[in-house]
Amino acid sequence: MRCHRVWLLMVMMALGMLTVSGCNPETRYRVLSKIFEEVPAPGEEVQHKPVVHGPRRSPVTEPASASEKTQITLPPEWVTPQNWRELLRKLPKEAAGGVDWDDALAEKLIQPRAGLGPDVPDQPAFDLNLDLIPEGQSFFKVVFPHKEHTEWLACANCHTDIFKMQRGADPITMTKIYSGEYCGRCHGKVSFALPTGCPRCHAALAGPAKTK
Amino acid sequence: MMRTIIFFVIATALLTLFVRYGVAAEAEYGDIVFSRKTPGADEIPPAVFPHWVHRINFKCYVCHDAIFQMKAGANPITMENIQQGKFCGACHNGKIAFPVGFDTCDRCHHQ
Repeated sequence: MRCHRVWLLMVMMALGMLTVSGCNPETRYRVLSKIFEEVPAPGEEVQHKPVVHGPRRSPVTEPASASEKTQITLPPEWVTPQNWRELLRKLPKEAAGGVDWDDALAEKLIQPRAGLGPDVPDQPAFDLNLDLIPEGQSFFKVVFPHKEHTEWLACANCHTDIFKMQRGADPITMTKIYSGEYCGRCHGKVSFALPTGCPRCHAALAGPAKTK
Repeated sequence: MMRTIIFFVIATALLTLFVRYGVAAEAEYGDIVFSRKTPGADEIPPAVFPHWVHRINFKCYVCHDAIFQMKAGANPITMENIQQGKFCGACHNGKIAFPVGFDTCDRCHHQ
């Protein structure tokens, strides 16, 4: 039964096509232009649009130097929840490939709130650089910047549960950091990772040219 | 015949929607996958906390240590606690961030 119906449909379509093609040019044009686009009117030549070919090879552009940081500007109205993941991709990256949150904050690419409500003022940043020099290994000197940390964190986040408030009072070693103590409480979990982040703390490891 | 066609059309549409807006979110550095402690809750995937989304929007000290202790597993987060406005519920109440309910499960509970 179903097979018959399909045959019937096909025969009807064939008959319809025959009817249309057998009509006079005006009727054919009227019917066909209802169904198809760009049907030539009776007496009109078929117009073929010239095909434009693009260049076969894309022109060579010099890749931007990796050392130069790409400046991106994002209008604030663009930053909506739908675009957060794209924003994450666009945020400046550090050498290890992770997001450089300090740069993102300094360049105002992100405006993280300082409280649950919208208009809470930022806690004041505390500008104090601490030189932490391992005994007898001055090459591995670490400059701890309070400023970058206090832009995100409150004093009480670290003091005095994680760090005592006295320079040299905490026996910080890389082993302890790797096992999640001291700096390792955040670095390697949320903040930039340890193995590739060496020069960010141990400035001398970045080489003489790059030391800040 | 007709039913099969309709089924395929709907399946394709759903698949497209899932790929486009799906909840199979990519993992990022700093994500925390909460381990389940509630017995019998294995059918629901564990909650994933994306640190990066929250860092875009809030400074660390907004949540630490007043709402969350800075140690994975140190916070007894339950759905009941959240509904009472504790932990995630401090913001995820429909006022500051999306509310916790049956239509938003998969925004946190996903693979």
